[in-house]
Amino acid sequence: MESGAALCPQCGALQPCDPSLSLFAILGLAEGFVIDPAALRSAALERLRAVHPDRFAQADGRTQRQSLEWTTRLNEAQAVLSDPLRRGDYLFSRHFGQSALGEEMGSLRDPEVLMRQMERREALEEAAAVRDQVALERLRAEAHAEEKQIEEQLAASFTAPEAGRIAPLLQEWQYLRKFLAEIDQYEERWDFA
Amino acid sequence: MALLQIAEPGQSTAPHEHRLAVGIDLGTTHSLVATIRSAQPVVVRDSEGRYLLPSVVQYRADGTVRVGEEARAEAAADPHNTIASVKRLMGRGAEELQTLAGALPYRVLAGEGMVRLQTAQGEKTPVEVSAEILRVLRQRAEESLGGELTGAVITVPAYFDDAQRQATKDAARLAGINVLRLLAEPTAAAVAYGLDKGAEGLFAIYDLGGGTFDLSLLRLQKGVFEVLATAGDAALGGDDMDRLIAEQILAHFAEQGDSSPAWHRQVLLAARAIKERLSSLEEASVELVLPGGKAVQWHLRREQLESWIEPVIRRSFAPCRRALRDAHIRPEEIDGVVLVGGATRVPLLRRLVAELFGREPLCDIDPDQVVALGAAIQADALVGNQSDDLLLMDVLPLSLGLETMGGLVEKIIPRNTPIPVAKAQEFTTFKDGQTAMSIHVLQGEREKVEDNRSLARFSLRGIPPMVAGAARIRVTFQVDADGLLAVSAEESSTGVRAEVQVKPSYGLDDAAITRMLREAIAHGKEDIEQRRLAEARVEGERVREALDSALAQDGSLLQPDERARIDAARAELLHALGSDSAAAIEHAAGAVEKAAEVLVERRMNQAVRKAMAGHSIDEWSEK
Repeated sequence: MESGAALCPQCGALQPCDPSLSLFAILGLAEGFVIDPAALRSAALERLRAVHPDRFAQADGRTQRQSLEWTTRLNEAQAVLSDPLRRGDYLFSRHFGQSALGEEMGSLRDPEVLMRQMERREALEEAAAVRDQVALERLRAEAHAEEKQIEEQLAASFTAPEAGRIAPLLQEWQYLRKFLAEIDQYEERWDFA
Repeated sequence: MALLQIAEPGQSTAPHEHRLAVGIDLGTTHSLVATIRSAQPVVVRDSEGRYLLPSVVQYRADGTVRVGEEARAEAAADPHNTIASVKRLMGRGAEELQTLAGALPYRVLAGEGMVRLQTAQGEKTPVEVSAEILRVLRQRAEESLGGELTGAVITVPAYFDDAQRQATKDAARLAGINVLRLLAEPTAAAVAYGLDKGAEGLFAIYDLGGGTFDLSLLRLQKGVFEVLATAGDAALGGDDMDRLIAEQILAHFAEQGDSSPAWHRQVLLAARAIKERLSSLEEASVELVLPGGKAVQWHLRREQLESWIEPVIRRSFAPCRRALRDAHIRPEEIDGVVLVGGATRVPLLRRLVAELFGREPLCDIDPDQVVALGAAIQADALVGNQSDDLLLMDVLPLSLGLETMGGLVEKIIPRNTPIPVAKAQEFTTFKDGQTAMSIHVLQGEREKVEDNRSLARFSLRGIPPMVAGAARIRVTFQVDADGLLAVSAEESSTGVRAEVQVKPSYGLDDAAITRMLREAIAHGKEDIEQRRLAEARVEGERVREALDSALAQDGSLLQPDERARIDAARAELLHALGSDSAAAIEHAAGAVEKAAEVLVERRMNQAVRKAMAGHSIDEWSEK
């Protein structure tokens, strides 16, 4: 079956989901770092409409299982490809056989980047200690701005992929994500206290 | 009708059969059922025109079960056997009840696993109690729609965890309902708004029910309902407002009151009544009968009430902000806020929610009905009655994780991940020749195992013996469209499929469900037997009365031996009426009628003769 067609073009019956299809192929999208979010969304919605378990609520067990597999896979594709960090790492693993964020790749070594992260963390702890919501917002905005920069650098790097250039960018982005999650956690803790 | 139907491509070309499907809102305080009639979602009413069924079940000492209004009326008089707000107990363990706000008047049995309540009819689990409510709704729907249900969509709070969802599904199974889908309540409300009111854009659904709070953020776009994030509190609701008011009443009457469950029930009902009245009035009062028997009026102003219940409303705001953060949405980006649940009628709540989101909330559709109406729309689509494409995409409300070293939880699927979702995790053995391993699945956001919900413990057996670390056991966690988790495992290096034994921490295993189903069916047989007996008694009594009056008037028409035969049959019937056998009564009544045939015949002749007296036969035959 080509391009991940879920339904038989002749009879409209649900076909088994081929696990070897890439997340791009399953959505019928060209493989690459730069993606049009609107095209991704409409591709996913169109396919989800065809295979979603709601369409097969009355079907036999086998068809229901296939529908579940397809929908699960489409959800995964949408989740991974709509997030530029996860999309980048997925592409990295397609090129180089493993994730840039796993233990095997080691961690960030660039002292300049590490220093920036440390300063950032100190600023967060200071703001958190006095519950400075304004400072928290500023740190969040700065981290978002850096995410944008990394995204642009990645887009350029993926035109001629080199593991040594791409992995540190993905790793730095991962740091930023953890940092942003920590900001959220502080806010949540204050909220629920 | 059939003439107008045109087959859509990809659909069956057979004449379209309309299947009966309903949406059921199984609520903490009320439950209701809705369906689609003439392309419009409508609530289904009982023979007296009521659509809200109080979620109250009374197990009576005589073996009968009362559900709804009748049960609620008995709540104060029979607090131990009258179960209200059972939804709060779904999928929970006895040790958790302390953390559920407020004391419950039921006799909760100690022990592991799901809560069990001691009633006049023995131990009952919340699943069985809920099944009684669902059974009544199913019956109501089948009577109103005139046929057997194909299936139902049952709504659950978005923030219900796996154990609570599973318990709800089990209850439906016990009630003989085919569950087409478990649907999150705010999502159901969004469907009703999206399709009926044509709402499009980003919506916040604020759903404060009797005992649960949900906030869901959805993107609505031409038949697509996409949940972006959901947050809530599975133990926060309008009941909490009632309880705070009740505490004030109890404190006020501390000297005249007592600690009896009956007095507490009365105060709780009064608290709810005055809260409802103060939604439209500035001041109101309720009558209370003190334990001593003295009736008093208790007066309250809205301002005072608002100061008591404001903390409950404020508690709902932290989950609201969490959902906004998770979805990366600022309040000003939201196109509309929809209010769901009876508790959102409180004016203070509307003011505070408007402040939080910076816009007036919508409540065009009755907040008591909107969830059931939305569920009915989806049910109709699921059984294939609708051709317009409806696509509902929901999320996992709470993170799923596994216990790791040191009693900590490692998250494997984070909250707000779209469902269905699957995640595989690899495990390895830590001892040489290890052939089994046990895994503990948890749900929640906290770091320590004991702060999260234990969903299940399972063991993997049949791992081929290898050196430590060589085995690769791939465990797959699959969450389906109902938000329910299934686990499977495989040893990757050899392909041996490891056996998974899941022991739900708070659920019922299949054996328990089967036993309950069997009991329910046996009980159904008993019910039929009871009805037959009651009917036989009525008929037997009628026969006896008719005979006695005939004998009193015309006993003289009988010969002594005929009279003796009738008297013997009559004595048999009296004896049978004193028994509990429908068959014996039916048989004896039949014997009386047979023995009395001669009397019936003579009376008939006598009546004819009387009527004809003074007339000639010719006269009659001309007429």
